[in-house]
Amino acid sequence: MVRYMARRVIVAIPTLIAMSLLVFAIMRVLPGDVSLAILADTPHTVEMREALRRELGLEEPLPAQYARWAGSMLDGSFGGRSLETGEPISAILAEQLSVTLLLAVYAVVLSLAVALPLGVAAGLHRGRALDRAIEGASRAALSVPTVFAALLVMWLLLRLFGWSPPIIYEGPADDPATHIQMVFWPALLLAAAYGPHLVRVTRTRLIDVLDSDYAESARARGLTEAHVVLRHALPNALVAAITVAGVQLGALVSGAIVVETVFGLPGIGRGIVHAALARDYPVVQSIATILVALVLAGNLAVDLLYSFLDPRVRYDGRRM
Amino acid sequence: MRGVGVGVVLAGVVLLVVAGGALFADLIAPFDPLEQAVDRRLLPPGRKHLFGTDGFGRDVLSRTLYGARVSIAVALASVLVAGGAGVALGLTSAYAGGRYDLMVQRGIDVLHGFPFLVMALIVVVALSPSPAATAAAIALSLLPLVARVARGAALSVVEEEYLLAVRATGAGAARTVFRHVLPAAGPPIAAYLAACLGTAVGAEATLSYLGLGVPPPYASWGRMLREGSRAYFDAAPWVTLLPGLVLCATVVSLIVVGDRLGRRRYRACGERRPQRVGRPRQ
Repeated sequence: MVRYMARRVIVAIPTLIAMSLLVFAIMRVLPGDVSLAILADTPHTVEMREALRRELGLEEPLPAQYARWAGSMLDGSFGGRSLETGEPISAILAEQLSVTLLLAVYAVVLSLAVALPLGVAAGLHRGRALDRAIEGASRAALSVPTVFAALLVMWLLLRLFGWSPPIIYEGPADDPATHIQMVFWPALLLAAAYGPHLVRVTRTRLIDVLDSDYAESARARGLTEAHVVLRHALPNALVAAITVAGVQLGALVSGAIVVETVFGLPGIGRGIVHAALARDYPVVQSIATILVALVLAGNLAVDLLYSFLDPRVRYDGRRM
Repeated sequence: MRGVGVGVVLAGVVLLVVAGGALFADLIAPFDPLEQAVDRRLLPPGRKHLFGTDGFGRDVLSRTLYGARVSIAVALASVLVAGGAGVALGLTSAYAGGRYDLMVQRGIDVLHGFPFLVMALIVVVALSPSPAATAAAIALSLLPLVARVARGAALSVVEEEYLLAVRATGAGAARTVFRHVLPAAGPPIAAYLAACLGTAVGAEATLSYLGLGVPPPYASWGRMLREGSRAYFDAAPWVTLLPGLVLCATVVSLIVVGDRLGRRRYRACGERRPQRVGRPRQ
């Protein structure tokens, strides 16, 4: 088990390096150079541009720039300061990351709590009205663009209850009531975009097991259907749902960027959009890398959990 | 119409209407989409302005029709690019196998590790907002998804014996891949690309809503969502919600049609019905 875990972690490292290289490379594709793009809207002299280039380290060769940036990602300064406000990026992260992580946890918990029972219900009633209704609802939830759903919810709340989200965000410990008001709808919308995948995989896996030979043999031994469902089908469906939950983490991040912006939640998703609009390159570059690293770490954690729940994957190397 | 559900027919009608509206926008649109008029600001939907007017007195229906052009053009361009590159990568890596396959797969894994919007965001920031940058951003996000589907579809074909026969006739690798593997692996890929088009339309709207997509003079759907929801969401919701509804109907219809295509082709081949392709992750 330990060996398997170590191997998985080691394999993830080159992937992470490749991803950070890609982010760095894309940010350097800029026609001209960053300093021109930043100064584009302000009158400036050649000396000012030179000074900015030196400040941003653009005089150095690219590999040296990458090494310096990658080093700063590791030592906790995360690429220095914001160009817009001069605030250290580490402070921006400290402020915004917790909001998004909380939101993600709420969304995952909410979607698991709703999706698993729905998936099981659909699987047990397959082909019947309930199954079709659940399938229809999850397809609808999956197809509607999150931006539109979020705006529609926002408008309905405004019209029906005269409610709009509180302007100042409060943490769960400081002011639970405001916190819940602020995160409830975004979390619900995220869960609606995330949950349908879980419903489907739970249903499919449940049906697979119920149709399997070993379920049949359990029934032949006189075990009740309830036993077959609870002891054989459910654990398998759960493991499958957890895997899909891991695979879909990226979708959760994209969704968070949208709902945070619509509902004005001061999370990292809104932060990266704000930085992008302000052409705050260092912040965009570092936040993007952190988000990617978080998704990778989340996938890894799910992988490890999966190998713990289903020992087969540790030995046959199927998932390597 | 045997075996075609009401939903698919409805989706087809929606797509025809939207495509027609986009193509013939200059003939159908009752007003100039950019013409401003102070005396008809924020008019609710009525006989003269079916979708109402926005804060500059511009006709929302006309803007939606012209916006369809921008949104669909960006989506089509991105799917064409992602489709071309993704299919080429997927097919060649399935056919060649070995070290090349492994390298391509690692590259695709790296791209796939990026959340859709994060990738789109850094590309748009690097290239600065324009319709082409938006299309490039969406294409790069779709590329790993298409490449995986194409590789998967091709893998089931490359084992076929007729390819051995093709090779025996002296056909080169390129000819084998594009003349013999592609037609057989094509249908599921085409169905997936139709669903991708839905995702691309949604992605364009999302990026433009965030202010990072198509810049101002163009009225794309996402742009309209942004302008309408920021300035006068409460006073004039139609400015936001009506284009939003058209956007939503288009995306859902594209996904429904893609889904249907995927199933029909398989049935024609007499094969087992595959799992739904669904909507590519956004």
